[in-house]
Amino acid sequence: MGAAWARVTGGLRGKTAPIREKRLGAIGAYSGSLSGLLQEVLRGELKQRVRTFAQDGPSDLQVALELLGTIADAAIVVHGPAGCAASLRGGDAGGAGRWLVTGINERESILGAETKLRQAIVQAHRAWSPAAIFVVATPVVAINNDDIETAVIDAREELGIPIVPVYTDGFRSKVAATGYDVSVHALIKHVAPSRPRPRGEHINLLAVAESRHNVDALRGLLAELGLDAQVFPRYGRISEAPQLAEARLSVAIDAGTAGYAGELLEELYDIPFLRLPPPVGIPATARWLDAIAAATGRDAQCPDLIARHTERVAELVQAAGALQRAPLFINLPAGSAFAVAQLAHALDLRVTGCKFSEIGDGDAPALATLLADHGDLPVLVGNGQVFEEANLLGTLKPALYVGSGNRAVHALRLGIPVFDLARRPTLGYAGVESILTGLARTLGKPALAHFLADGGGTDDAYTASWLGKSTHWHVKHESN
Amino acid sequence: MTIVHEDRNGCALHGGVRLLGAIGGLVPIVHANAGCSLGATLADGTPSGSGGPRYTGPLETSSTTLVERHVVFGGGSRLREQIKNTVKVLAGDAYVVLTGCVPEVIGDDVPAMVKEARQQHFPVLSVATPGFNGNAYRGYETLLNTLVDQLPPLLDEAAAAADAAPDATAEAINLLGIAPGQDAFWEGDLLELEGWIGRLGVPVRRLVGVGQTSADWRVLPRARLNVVLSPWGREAARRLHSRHGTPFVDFGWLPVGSRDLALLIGQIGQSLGVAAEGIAAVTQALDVRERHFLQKFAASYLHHGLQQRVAIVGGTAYAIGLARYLAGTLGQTLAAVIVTDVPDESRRPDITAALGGGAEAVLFSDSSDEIAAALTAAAPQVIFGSVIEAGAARALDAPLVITAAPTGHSPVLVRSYAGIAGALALAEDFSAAVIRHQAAADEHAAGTAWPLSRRAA
Repeated sequence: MGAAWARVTGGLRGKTAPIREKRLGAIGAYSGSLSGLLQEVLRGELKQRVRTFAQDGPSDLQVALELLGTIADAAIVVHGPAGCAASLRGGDAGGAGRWLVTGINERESILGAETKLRQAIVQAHRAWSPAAIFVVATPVVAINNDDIETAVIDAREELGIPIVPVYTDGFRSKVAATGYDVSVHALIKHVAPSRPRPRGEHINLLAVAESRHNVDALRGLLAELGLDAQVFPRYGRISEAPQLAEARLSVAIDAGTAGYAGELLEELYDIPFLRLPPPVGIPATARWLDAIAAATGRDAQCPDLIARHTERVAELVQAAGALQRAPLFINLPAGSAFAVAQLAHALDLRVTGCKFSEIGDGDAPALATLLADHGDLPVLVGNGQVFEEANLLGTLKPALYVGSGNRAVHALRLGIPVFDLARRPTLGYAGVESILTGLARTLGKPALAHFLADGGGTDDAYTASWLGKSTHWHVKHESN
Repeated sequence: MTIVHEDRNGCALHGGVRLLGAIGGLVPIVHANAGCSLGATLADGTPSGSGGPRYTGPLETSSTTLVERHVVFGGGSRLREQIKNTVKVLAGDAYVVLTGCVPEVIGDDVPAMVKEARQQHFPVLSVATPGFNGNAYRGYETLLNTLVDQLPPLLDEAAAAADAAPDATAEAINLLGIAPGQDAFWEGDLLELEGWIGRLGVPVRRLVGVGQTSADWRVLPRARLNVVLSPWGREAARRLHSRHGTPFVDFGWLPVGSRDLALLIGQIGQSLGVAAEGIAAVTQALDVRERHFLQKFAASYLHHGLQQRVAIVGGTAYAIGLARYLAGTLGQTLAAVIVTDVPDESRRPDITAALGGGAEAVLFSDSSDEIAAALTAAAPQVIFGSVIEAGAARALDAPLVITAAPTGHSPVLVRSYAGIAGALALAEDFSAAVIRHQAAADEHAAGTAWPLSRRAA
């Protein structure tokens, strides 16, 4: 663990990661046709839009906490009012319990709370002897300019472990996934080795958002190729950080969400970064394995491996014929959404509407494939913003809503059967099995959704006037 | 506020969002950066179903989602826009702006925006609920106080414009002080109490949960009595008393079991002038019901040695209510009672007194490190608390009964630990936890003992 924080290297020179709007041209608001969105991306004119009515969704802070909470040998100090840490009570991070919050009060919100921050870092060290401590900034301390930097430098000297400042602020970016980049930036800057190290045999498997099921499924597949994969940063360990710089290759499970890590590792340690679409479905998984095998000189083992697994799941694919032509609505982060849409196409399911958390300049090819496979569709870009879906779903009436976790709850309440990807493997061949059996179950037993629908759904929350308006009514071009 | 390990109480804004989510027809408009309301709806709220069915479902809360330019130039005009459009998109009878930390720090003039909206006849009011002002109980209290002051006239005004008469029964008993979501079992508990108190012949208004809407809040000042079930409802009752002359019973905690429920019903009955026989008829019925089931419980109680040293961790209402029942009726020894909702210092002697001197240790703390240390020192055999106590419970090899938020992997819809049904459910859950624990210990012992006994044979 070198003095990485002293390093001044291109991408890491900044105090924190650039926002996704700048780095990827990402937008978080769009409502219109798929073809219209594709045209904007192709012309390089993806426009920033705002909503004149908005519903709450995560900011970079919740996203960062959710990710950092999965790093088992670290502790988290949230520097802000107590409520800022609330998301640590849910999700994957819930069980870890190695976190505290400085709980700043009104007076401290004005005068600063650096002393308290210093105490909190010492408390975290004493309570859990962690391998590192993340100091996560919040909106109030971002505004009142608490000197986190100095507190962190002093604590590092005093405690002799990496104290990692994570500069989330809740308002800099409209794209919550910026929180992944902010976390990755902080980790690589303060925990990873300061200079390149001798190359090893393993690869870096980059993951920021994936479930443990998915990470395990892909590690298993890579092991069958004879490849040892170190997962970073999700479910990683601070103690494994040195190996990060020794990998022969980096592969992101979803290059859209974890691309920043791949780029930084390439820049710092010359580790080649392989950008692949997520391995959802049989052809995509085969392409994913082929590409990694080719990059690591394991071409010979690959065809056998693919053939063996394909044969294993063939029967399930056959059975999936019964699902034909069912209309789907997909609401997922872009990379997963595109991958699921391709799988749907392969299964002869119809995607009739799509929602992405964000879309960026790099998404043109995937948008074009979606258009080619499913024709023109209504498309939404946004995180949450359920009101737009409530409006659109009333017209689309999909047989199935494919979403993930809290993003999908309203659809079930509206009486639409939901296929929830959050709690099952979706990647690799394990993902194929899980998706096919799960799809059949969800479509075959829509009892709860129908019960809720019979009551007229619970969503008398929205006015008739809104439900009768165009979905794009509250999405406007940003004026400067 | 001190440094908090594994905070369980969230912030004032969360308490506000959760209260509004529990009242039909009231729509929160959060004025804050993105993410601020999620602690209320996504943290422990999702498994507990405390995110309301409307307006406050996951990712459904109206919010200005302030970004950098609002932080720099002010978020007032964004709030104006959001109010105007929330009224158009979300169907409600009244709209409540809840401000988070950022607009309070940058000094947005929220009252001016609300005044402007009112001039356009939008039924809107605002409450400052920045997280740095306190936890979710404090937010519940702050919003409750504002609602009892400002909501009825606002709704009257809106109804006058629509020429509508109040349609809820005015003559009723209001229940105050149980904070939706923050008190994990709020809905089932209030329903249970409503059923029993209602036997006195006066309708009961829970004010939150199924079937309770803005119409109930509109007539709230004309109630015959307010009943306060925690420190967090007292100020609202006091205000209603001074403004409308409504008497109140400051019970102070959640009645669990027939003794405390009879105590409460006696106080309510007296305050309402119900004849002694009328009160006695109700309290006897309580007693008969509970006795019937505790007779059935006797066998388990003996078989499984259900007299234990217990520790209770929870907000004031629940900590006192559970402690009094577990010690006073079920004969448990109170090794420790830990009160987690951070009540004002001035209230703490009353809280300790309500425990009746039965607890070996009483601690006020919301920080998991202090709570774990107190539990370790008390060495209870069973812990009643939140999922945050799971680590301490494991370390003590004590079963944990989830009776507080966050409830973790134990979703709560209408489960209750109050009144009679709730008290009996508590007896069931307590005994099940102890019996499972004993069975696991027996199995473990058998597993290790088996090779030995075989060798002996």
